[in-house]
Amino acid sequence: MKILIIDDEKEIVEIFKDKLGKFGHRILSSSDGEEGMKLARIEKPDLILLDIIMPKINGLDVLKGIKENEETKKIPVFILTNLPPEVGEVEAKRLGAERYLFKAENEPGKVVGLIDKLNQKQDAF
Amino acid sequence: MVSTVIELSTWVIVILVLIFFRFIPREIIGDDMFLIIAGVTLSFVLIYYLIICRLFNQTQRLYIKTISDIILIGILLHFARDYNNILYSLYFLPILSASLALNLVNNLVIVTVACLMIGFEILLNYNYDGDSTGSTYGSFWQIFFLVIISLFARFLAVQLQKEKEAKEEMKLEKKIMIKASHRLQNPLSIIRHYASSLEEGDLGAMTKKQKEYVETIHEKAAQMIKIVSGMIKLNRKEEEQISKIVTSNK
Repeated sequence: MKILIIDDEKEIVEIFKDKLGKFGHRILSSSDGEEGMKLARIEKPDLILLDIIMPKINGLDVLKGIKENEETKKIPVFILTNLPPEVGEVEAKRLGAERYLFKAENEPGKVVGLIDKLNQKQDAF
Repeated sequence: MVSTVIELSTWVIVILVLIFFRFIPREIIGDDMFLIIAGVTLSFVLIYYLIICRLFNQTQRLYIKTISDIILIGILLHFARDYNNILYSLYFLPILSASLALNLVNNLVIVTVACLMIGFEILLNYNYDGDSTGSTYGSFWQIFFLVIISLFARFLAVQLQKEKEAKEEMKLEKKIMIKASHRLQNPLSIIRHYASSLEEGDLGAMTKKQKEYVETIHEKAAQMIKIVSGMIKLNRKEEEQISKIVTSNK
């Protein structure tokens, strides 16, 4: 699976890159939203992991941009953020996020499991 | 925009007051007196909005307000002395407004002038007809009443102000707390992720002791995250309760 991580925190990008790479996924990453949207259009990944609190443009706006673009609107997006669910989940789901993952409580191993589940769901269709 | 609203509402109040004056019995305010009052009021408002409001700064306008308050008290006092009771209560309005606006100097000046005027009138009364003892006592009582009302309004205003400040301070503290907790969440989750990765053997096998240590780091990071999350949730709840109280008091 080709996965794009959009997050400004390089430690987070690195640990997910390592973990997901280990399970055979190909990882692309971007540290800001503008570049991330461009990358999504060019590379058309199978999944996007998106942070919300980022400099310049925030993750919810990036999500909106991704879902409004014809080329990228079908790509499932997992929000992976430290913004508590009670603050951001409703808005993120409304904008079309597949899942809302609270960073502090979803370790890389758990995220891998969720990605596998998504994969099975897509295979079933 | 705001100033237009204020100006319009001033006109509405002026017109309502003039209508109110028309309902006062003719023996108290005759037709001539009414025309004089209407003329003076309207010309003052016109002067205020056409000249004073445009030319003077805020401090100067404050002085003008104090002077006009004093004049108003003088006029009201004059009516009140002649016809007693009903109109007397009206000159508490500028005093109350100055007290509630927490304007100490303005408040002191108005109360002092009002007291002096009452005192002056007592003296005049005493000179003109020596046997009007009843109304003299009444006048002293008026001064007492005036000072009490003013003090009461001022204490009330100060207390309200203090409560408001305390509430705002508490809100700010909560905001800082929530922000700090969020900031903690980031490094904590990174520690947790890295420890879990090590624990799962992503970087190769570890000795039993190494694994034990990493497990402890992982466990404690998760514990700290729980504590911080709990703090944020608690703060949110309290904040919601505070805002509920504030909005229900409005």
